[in-house]
Amino acid sequence: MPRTRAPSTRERAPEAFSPHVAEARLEAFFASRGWHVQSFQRELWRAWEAGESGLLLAPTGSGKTLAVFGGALIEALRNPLPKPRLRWLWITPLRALAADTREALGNASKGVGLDLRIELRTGDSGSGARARARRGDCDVLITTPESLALLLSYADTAEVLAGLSAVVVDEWHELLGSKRGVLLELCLARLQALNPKLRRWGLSATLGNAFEALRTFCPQSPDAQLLRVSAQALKQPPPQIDTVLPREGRRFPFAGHLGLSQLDEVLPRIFAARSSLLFTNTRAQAELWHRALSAVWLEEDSTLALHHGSLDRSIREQVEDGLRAQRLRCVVATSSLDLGVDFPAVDQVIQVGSPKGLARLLQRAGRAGHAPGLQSRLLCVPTHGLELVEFAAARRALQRGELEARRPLRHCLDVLAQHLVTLAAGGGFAPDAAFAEVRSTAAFADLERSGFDAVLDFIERGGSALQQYPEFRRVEREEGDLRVLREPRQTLRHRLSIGTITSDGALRVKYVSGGDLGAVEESFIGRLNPGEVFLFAGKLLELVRLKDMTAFVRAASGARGSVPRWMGGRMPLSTLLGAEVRALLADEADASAETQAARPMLALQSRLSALPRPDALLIEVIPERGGLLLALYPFAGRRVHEGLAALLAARYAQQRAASVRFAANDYGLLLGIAPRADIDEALLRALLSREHLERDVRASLNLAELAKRQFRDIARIAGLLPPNQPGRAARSMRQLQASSSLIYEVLRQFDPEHLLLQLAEREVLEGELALPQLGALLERIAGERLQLYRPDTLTPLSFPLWAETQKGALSSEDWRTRIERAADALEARANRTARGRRTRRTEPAAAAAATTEESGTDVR
Amino acid sequence: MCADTANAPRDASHPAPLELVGLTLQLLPERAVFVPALKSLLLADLHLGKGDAFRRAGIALPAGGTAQDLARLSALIERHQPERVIVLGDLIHGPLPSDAHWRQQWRDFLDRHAGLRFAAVLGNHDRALRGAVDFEGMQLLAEGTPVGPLRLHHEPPDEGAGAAASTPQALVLCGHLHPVLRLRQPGLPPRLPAFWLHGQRLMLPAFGAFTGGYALQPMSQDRLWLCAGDAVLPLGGSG
Repeated sequence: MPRTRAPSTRERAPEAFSPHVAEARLEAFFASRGWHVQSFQRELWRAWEAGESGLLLAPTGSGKTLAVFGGALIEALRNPLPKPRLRWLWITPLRALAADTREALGNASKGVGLDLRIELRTGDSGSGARARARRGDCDVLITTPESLALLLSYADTAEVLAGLSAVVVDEWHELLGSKRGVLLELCLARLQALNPKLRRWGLSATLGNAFEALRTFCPQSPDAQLLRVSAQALKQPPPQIDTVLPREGRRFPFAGHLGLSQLDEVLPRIFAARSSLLFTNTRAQAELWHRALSAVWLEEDSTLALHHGSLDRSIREQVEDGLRAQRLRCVVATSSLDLGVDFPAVDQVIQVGSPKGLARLLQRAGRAGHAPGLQSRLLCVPTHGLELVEFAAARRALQRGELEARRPLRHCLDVLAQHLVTLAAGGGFAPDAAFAEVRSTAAFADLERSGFDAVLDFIERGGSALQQYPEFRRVEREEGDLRVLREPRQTLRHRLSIGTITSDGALRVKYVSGGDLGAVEESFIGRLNPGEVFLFAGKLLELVRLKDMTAFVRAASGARGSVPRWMGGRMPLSTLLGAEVRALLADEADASAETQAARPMLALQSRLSALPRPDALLIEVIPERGGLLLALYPFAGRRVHEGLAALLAARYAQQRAASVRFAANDYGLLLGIAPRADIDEALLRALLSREHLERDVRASLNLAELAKRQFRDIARIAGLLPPNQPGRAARSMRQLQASSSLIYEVLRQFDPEHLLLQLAEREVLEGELALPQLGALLERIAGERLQLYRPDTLTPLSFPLWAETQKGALSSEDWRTRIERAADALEARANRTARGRRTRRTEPAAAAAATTEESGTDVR
Repeated sequence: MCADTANAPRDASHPAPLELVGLTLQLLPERAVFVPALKSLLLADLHLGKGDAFRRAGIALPAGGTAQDLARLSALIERHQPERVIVLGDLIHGPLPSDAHWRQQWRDFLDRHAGLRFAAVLGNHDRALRGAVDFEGMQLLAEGTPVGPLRLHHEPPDEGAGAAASTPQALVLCGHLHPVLRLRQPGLPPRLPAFWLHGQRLMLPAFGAFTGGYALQPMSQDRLWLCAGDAVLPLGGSG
């Protein structure tokens, strides 16, 4: 509903248009660009005009931005202002997106004859832009969730923000499921309290749980609209998936995860296209592929680039600019290029290794040729045999239109603590009103008052036990309201800690001679000694010294370097895709090129044991010297399998005196049990019982040690760690240096019931240990038949798991040699088997066709 | 000597004796050194009031660490009966608010051990004590103060610079670094506080529990003793 304005304003204002004329203007702008107004765009403009809120789900490149900004433009034409005043807030999860968004919005605004002032306020903004943002001296403000939280920490912004007519959140799917999303939910609740009529519009890629995404985004409005633009509606077929198949006569490795043996297949494809993006699953893999490609690169070095999340922003921006200017032939990238960063589509997208999930594959495919109506194409490079089947399964599921869900987080008390201090700094808050406001978000909808009060206690008194926190000073009560101390340092410290949500324990990597390369995880650099060489940012570097959270390096040459292993590089296969792989393995009628290519391996699996079936759990018991190997294949993703493996190992050891080692991958898990014992169905059913799950998981793992790692982020978000920006620790903070593990120990010792310790445990149980998914898996298994086989050697499915168990015990060099030896034995075994001479062996050094991964290509 | 201590039974608090510059130094697992000939207990980096500084800055750390550190120190005094206790710098962590709880705890502690002489070398954290002659009746010492053949420092002096400090007749005792050794073995604690002998300098682990650590990188001639629970375990070195 259009709001009426005071006549005095309107007299001086530019001409106000009727709804019809305003829309016609916008259509004329579309026509001038050769675009056609699509029905979902018009639908959104009208919903906006009616004052409604909603969420728009649409694939990349479908015109989402103009669908939602058109609503604002019509509003501006209908209801012009004499001078700029902040009316629309545009939130983007990526700072890098902000500049592109400003350009797109600016062009559209000029296109309809308006001269809207559009400002940026991100972590990179200078003081001028920051001040203008606080004054609300513009029509549109483009900002990030953290910068919005920062705005709320100033008392004088409340009036400006109360005048907002709408807030738009771009890439909502990226925020959903993360603590940044929870922070934004709280900030939106604050904005809504300042102006109950505020519209919220979200933009999201397609999701498996669209309705939940909407409810999380617009909990305030029960009739918020869910607008969906399916690829079909845009006449955009699902991407065409082609796979690089192993050459005739060449066997495919069972294990290994780098895929560099496929390099000579991939190189000609890169040079056959004008521009390519080569996506890998981990940053380490990206570094190695970049290194390998540059060793055989045929053009100017400058046409090959590397892009991942640990590189310095300026380096990443250079690459993004290079893509825009079409100077680059190929960029090796990780998920850092999955979203946002607007650049013209490349000609070809190459995915190396497992797709991991459907949504992710779709997003990556969308990077190529994304004009409406054009089919995007994806070239897939499997790195081992079963990934062939993964790609075929992904194609099948995408054709049915399936996609994964992203579950929103709930009850993140660390984020709530940070937000409440923000409110205390931004003019103070009354507890009752704040409780109602917090409960209006989806993340805290069922938060109990006692939980809220515990957070208040934490920010006001330090913790629940008063005498344990003498002289604690952060916020205080004034006439019942909580306010932050009137001490500039307190407020400064809090503002510095806002927005550190996503940072990890990273060290800057810099040249001794100056020049920033990026950030690498402390756990990696901590293992290196000065003089050692490693591969980072596509360069061989020698560590010179570590100082002030900075690793100083110089260029190295010659020697082979180790590659940083970043945390979080191990994304599990999605449940949806895992189930599809299992279904496909059982489908003997499938005629895709990938399954055909995988056929020899599948035949061997089926001959030695069996192929997994969709309604049963395949279990293999394999003899090993002095013991046995027990392998299970639930196809539920690595994370759940790791939890299950630890659980089964602990339960087995409870029943029988035994030593048990274990390993897990995306398909299944393996226990190495000594001494040998009888494994029958009754025992397996007992091990896989749903009973006492949480108790047994707690007993099976060192929960305290895991929680200590989780605590690091929690402590930072909740303000227990002084903001520590590498290289620029503020003077006033120098007395406040303590590691999160030290703080964790102090809390465990002197306040063991602390709410943040409990939060860390819960997050480990539900996140890293995936307890809910593990429970669901055991539930599923309880309803499935157990397909128990006793092959006398390793099988294609168990070999990679067995290789994994050998990994931990030896240094990497030894490991590689040993696996190579085992693989040779496998090959010999397979040949014998093929000739029908099955001999019994007691040691599993056996199964089939395999050259291991790295043996083919030496990466320097 | 090293082998002996490694095989020794780990009964309640097993120190490692170290013979240097004509003295026997007892390296204690509680992260202190007792020198029987000098009847002196030496420790470094107590960082009194660190938790308090955090709480005043709005970082909610529970109290209890100071009381525990002082109780540990009292127990050491009971057991070894020194005549004097010397802190090798960083006695306090930050400012000296007169109303702070830990100051009363410290005064009570000194009262409890009224017969003893207490002294402290000034460390980089002891800014608030600079220029003073004593603090709560404790004597404040300058860097390099000699005690018998020992030279007391807070920060390790450069090997070349303080030539007097590096003679074979004198041993430098110092703190400041909080040396810890990182262990990368599953099942073991990730790091342990360590005594670190480098040339004629013995660096003590931090006594205060709420202190971080500097992951030391020993050189081949260095010797290390790890504070592992109630024992001091010697590592490396030729002796």
